Amino acid sequence: MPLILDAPDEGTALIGGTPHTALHAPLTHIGALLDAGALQPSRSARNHLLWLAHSQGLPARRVDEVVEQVGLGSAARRRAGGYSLGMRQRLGIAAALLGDPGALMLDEPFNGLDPEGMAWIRALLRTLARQGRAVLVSSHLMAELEDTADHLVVVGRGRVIADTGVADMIAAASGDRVHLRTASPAEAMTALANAGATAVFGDVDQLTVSNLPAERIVAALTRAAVPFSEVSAHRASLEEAYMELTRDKVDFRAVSPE
Amino acid sequence: MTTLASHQSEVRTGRDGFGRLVHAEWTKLRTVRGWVVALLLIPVLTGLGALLLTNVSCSLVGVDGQPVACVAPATGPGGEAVADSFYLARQALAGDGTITARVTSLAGRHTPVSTSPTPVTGGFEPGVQPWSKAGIMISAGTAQGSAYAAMMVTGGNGVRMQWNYTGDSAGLPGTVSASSPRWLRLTRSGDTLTGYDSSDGTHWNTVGSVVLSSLPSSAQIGLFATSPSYIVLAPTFGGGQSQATGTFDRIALTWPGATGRWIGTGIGSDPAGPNGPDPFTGSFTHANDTITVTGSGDIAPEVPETWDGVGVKAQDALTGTVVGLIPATIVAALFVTAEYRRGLIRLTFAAAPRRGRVLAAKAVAVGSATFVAGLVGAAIALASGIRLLSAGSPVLPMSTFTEVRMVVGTAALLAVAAVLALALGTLARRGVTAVTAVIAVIFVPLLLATLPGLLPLGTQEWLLRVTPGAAFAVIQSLPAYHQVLGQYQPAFGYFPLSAAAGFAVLCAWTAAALAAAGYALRRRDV
Repeated sequence: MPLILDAPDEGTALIGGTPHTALHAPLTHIGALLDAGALQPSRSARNHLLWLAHSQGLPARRVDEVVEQVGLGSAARRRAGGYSLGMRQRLGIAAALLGDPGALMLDEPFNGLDPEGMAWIRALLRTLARQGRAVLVSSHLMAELEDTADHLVVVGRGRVIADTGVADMIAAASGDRVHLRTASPAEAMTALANAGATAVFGDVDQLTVSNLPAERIVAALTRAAVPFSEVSAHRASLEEAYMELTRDKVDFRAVSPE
Repeated sequence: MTTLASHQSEVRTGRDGFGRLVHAEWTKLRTVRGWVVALLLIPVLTGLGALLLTNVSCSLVGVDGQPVACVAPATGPGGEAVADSFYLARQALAGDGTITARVTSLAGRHTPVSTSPTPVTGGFEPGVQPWSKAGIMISAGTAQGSAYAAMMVTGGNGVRMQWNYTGDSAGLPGTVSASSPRWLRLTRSGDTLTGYDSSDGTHWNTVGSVVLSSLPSSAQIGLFATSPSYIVLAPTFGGGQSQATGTFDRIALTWPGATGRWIGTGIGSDPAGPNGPDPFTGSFTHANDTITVTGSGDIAPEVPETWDGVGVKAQDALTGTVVGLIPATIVAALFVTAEYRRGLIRLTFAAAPRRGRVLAAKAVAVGSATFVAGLVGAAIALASGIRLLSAGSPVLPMSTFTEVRMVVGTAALLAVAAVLALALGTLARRGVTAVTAVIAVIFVPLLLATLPGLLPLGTQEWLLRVTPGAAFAVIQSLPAYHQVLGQYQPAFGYFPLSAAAGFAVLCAWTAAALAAAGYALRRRDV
């Protein structure tokens, strides 16, 4: 949408305060990975980047730099039609990086990458963010986003469902629950109830306790002489947080169960 | 609103604006091997057309039925090939003067309709042709192709003043007879020749005035007659030779040194040639102040598309242009539809958000490449084609300007047609649809209009006024002359519009398609 590839029904999108159409060399302001398959198959990766560089008035030297940066190397002179999905992904990222932009929009950048590629792109995204760039990543891979993203916008059916930091969202989904492992769950429940906490049975020897901080749980159990082997704060995954968030959006989930 | 980016790009961008978009599009074009091959095919296919011409040969047949070696026609003062055969009763007179004569009759005869160019030796039928001519003439000499000016009556086109083969100006209308004679007058004053006509010998009208710079001081002044061969198209194609006789009286020569003695000369005829006597050998009689002159032939530009026309047109060498148009238009259409097919167009517009400029840059890139390819192809085709053609038949000469117009026009035709295909491709977005549109808009009307007999002549000419194929007029090497009856049909390389007007029709189509494509690009999502 900021690239005005699809016209908005209402509102405007600006890049650094400027409409995309008014940018002198757009790719030096915002780089985008839209679709890694958007290639002319018979054109080499290097020539693909070369026309893109020419369109921004960038020198051919810049093409060689990004080719090295994404690790395409000598493969860049082969026709792009023969590339694996992972190589196309790297080429698409090279195109996004070509103008050394302050903002990047990457659509599903983890697609098709092998584990080494995954580690590479996570590191790349963190590095780009550390350099002061805004890195927008859209993805369905919650586990990858949990490790890389700082801020999260959840969009469902065209509406913003959440707009928050990743840490905040996980904390919110985690609640103040604590996992307790004990050989005497019944006694533990009594002791905790007296201390004002709510406890529910989990597994055989496990309780999930809420409404009481971990240190006061330990104190209450100790005072009541209930034996326990483990007290740990519950930490939700981003995926759980996402499910939690969209649980109420029955409409959304019924249409799109992913 | 969230404001992005505290990082500032550190790469340096060079020149701004349209030039770098063209550079980008040219890079796209030259980095797909299939497109480069197709661009190289443009000159190859355009040039190959010339190679098909080797078996074109001269088809003149003599009286004895044997083929006659084709002799290159004479050329007129303007450099064009001319048909120059007539009978002249003349006097050589120097300086300025005036010749006046009254024409009381123009009669004629012709051979019956024949389907072969073999001259018929008997069974003549009476009648004059529309361009049978008899009149008075001032000529530089008796050689074919000499500079001249003449006043004449014609079989069907009234009184005319004609000069130097291509010049023609209308005088009094109507046919001539004893009860309705025509007075003709021609005056020389230095290099200026002025023609007058009159229906009564008292009231004179000026028909025209021309300057013949190559006229020598001593010119041939005389009375002439000639009559061109004719063509019949229905029910079957045929034609034949004809002859005309003009009857003159009240002849007045106001000239220093003028006498009453006339010398008869057959211009461009060979009565004692190897083929025996010509049944249409010219002659003149002079008795009681009345002169009759009888002649056959024409004093006009040479047109191959007449019954006895000789020579071939150089434009036949550019027959391959329509074949070269195929890769030119297909590359141009695919140049844009390939981007839609792969989704690459989104990246293109992310890099250059002003879509109209992208379309313009694509047009410049593919148009320039096609123009250069077409220029090379047309130059090779014309040069080699003329050489190949002249082995079988004389190639009618044309001016350097015409040659340049044909070569540059062919290149421009290919380039603008390619841009039209690009615009159609932008509108269609799908390669198959785009190529179908190109075929429907450019090729189908062109073939329907230029293949002989596919459609009525009027429909064919109409198509070549309104469809992009009108631009093929740029390769027409000889104009159609209204004073020579010939088969001026698209099938024989004669276009209804001039080169400039025909090219303008293609440009109008292209401009409209570009405007529609630019509008569609702005309106729709990618």
